[in-house]
Amino acid sequence: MSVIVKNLVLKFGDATAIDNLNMEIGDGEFAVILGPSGSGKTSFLRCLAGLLNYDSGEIEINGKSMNGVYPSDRNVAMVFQNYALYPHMTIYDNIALNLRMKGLEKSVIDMKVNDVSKVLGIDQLLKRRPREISGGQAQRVGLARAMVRDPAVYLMDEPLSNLDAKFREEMREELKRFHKITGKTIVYVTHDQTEAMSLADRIVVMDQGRKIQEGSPKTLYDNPEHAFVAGFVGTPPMNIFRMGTSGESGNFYELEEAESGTSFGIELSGKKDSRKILAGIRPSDLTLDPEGQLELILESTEFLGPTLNSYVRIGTSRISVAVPRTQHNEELLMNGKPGSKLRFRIAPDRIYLFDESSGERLSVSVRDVRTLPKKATEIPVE
Amino acid sequence: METFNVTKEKKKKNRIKRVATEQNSAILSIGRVKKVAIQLMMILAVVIYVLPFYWMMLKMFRTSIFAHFPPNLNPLSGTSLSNFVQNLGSVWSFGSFPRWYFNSIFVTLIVLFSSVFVGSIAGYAFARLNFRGREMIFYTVLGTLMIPFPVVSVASYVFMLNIGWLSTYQGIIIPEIASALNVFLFRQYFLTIPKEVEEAAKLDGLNPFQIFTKISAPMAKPAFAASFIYTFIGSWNNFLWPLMVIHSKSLYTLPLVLNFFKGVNGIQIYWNEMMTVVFLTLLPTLIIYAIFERYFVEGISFTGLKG
Ligand SMILES: Nc1ncnc2c1ncn2[C@@H]1O[C@H](COP(=O)(O)OP(=O)(O)OP(=O)(O)O)[C@@H](O)[C@H]1O
Ligand SMILES: [Mg+2]
Repeated sequence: MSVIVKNLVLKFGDATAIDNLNMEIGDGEFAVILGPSGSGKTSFLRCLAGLLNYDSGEIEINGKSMNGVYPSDRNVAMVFQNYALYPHMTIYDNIALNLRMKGLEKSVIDMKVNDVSKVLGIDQLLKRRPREISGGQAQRVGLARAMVRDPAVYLMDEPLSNLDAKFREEMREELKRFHKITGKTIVYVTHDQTEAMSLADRIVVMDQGRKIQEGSPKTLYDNPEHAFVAGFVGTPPMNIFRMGTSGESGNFYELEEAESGTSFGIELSGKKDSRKILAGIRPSDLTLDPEGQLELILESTEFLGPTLNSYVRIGTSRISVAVPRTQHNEELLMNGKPGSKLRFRIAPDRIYLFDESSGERLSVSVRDVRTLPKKATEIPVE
Repeated sequence: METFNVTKEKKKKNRIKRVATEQNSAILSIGRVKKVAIQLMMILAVVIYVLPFYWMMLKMFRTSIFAHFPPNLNPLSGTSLSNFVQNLGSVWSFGSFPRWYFNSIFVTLIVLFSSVFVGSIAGYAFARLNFRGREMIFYTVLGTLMIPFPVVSVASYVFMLNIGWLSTYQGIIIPEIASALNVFLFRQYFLTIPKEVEEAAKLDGLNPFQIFTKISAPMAKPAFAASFIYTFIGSWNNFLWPLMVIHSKSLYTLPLVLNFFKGVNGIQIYWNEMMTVVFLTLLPTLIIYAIFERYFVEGISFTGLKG
């Protein structure tokens, strides 16, 4: 069932937790709300579930306005960030409570609870109480409690955050399969962009209660419309440089931080009003090339199997690069001495440009990139 | 694997201990002196607290009405179970003792259940429901805790007099059916329960009343235990208020009876019988203590009150 949110505003006293949010989640869509801590993700889910009274706006589920509809009548189930299990009940009763409230027959309840707990691998825990299980197990009980109800819309608040890496991946696959089979609408909240990328049909990036951008994982990765999205989506995160123009030509911008030492500059295809812009380069867009435009200084390298993650430096700016593991790259990055100079190539059209103050994507493109020699001590002109 | 770990742990501990002894022997000996001092103080405290009980036992197993001073060299001389049975018999047939005993139980039961009930729902409302003037009402209720009972007792007495409730059960009971302390205690406890648990219950289809009875109240067991215990002790031992409102002997509760034994004519104290009454008065408290011993400690540590 579809979820439509119009002009949602939520305030806690003076602080605005959700700032005029608009969203349309289609029937059967797996939508992931992605944002850093405190961006209002949980608050948003709580509004959808009817647990919070918002200040203004409209929420529709399946075409019906949810104003004044009691949480349990919304046909949604929520998986809570901190599990929110009933501590005085057994795991079985935790899962079964909703079915009991619906007045289902005992045998039916029994069957459903057993089925769902088998799928989630918690069938051995049914007799225990929440304090006798681990965090990861509690999270699965939370999932089971939601799944057993077979709601129209799932609201999941970081349901995998407490699992270990291996099991998290397993559960991710399990969730995807579950979504494919049931075709249920899922609104999934996370601050983990890898999780968002691997699960979502559509990602909605939030920051400070505002929607920054939404789109498929591919769109967000290839076409971030905002510096915030660019820096948030993708691992390792995009390198973002603050660039300034000296003013005369208006289309040549130079790295700001590098007061001394080498630096680099970019030439834009068109003029820009702003004296400062942000330039973003994905770590994987930098390739080792003796003829490359950028001369960078090696700091350290992490070995991650198929890729090598290196930290290099230009002036005082730190840059991360991710290159495939080849003998040649390994030789240079793993065995190279820290401090040695390496040349990298960047295709000018792979550089993302954003406005420095608003963070929004600029429509101009980069024509040329070049390393600038060590600045001479500046001589005042006047 | 487990045993292996255990021995490893032990070894580690021993090693730490050894190192500690070598390096800090001076500090340790200071620590030991401290420990002995604390133990001595605790023994002293036990003696102080137990002595009255011991004395009570000696008296109620005797028929002699006198207190011996200095005590007999053999403290057990003259004590026997049959003496105790005899004392019991004479106390039980004294005045309308069974009725007085019943009065105490009756009053305490009603006060106990209503006060815990009112405290829990009012505390829940103050912790969870949003309504106008909530804070103001709560602090007003809390404020009544600051006023000592003797200050309000006269006004209460006059009030009872005017509505004709002096020397009635309702006169003893009604003023005690709600307690600000319980309201406060429950509110504080409910505030510590994560909201999400109740929200999950809302989504599971429980209405606010069911959330209270099925989720929040069962989660507040320690608060119930604490308030149960304190209210019981407070009501069972309540002396001043019954003394003021009860003028007819048939409505006496046990603390008043004790007062009465303490020298009816101001001349002779029947120590053996008085101690038997003390024992009978203490008995329910002792039973409750035995049953709820665990909660006593929990309740005290939870409320931060000193026993
Ligand atoms: N009950 C509340 N009272 C006041 N402020 C609140 C309340 N709940 C949340 N907030 C504030 O609203 C903002 C959004 O909180 P929210 O819990 O929705 O963030 P989140 O995106 O879920 O973060 P996290 O990833 O840490 O869970 C935060 O600044 C938070 O401090
Ligand atoms: Mg959250």
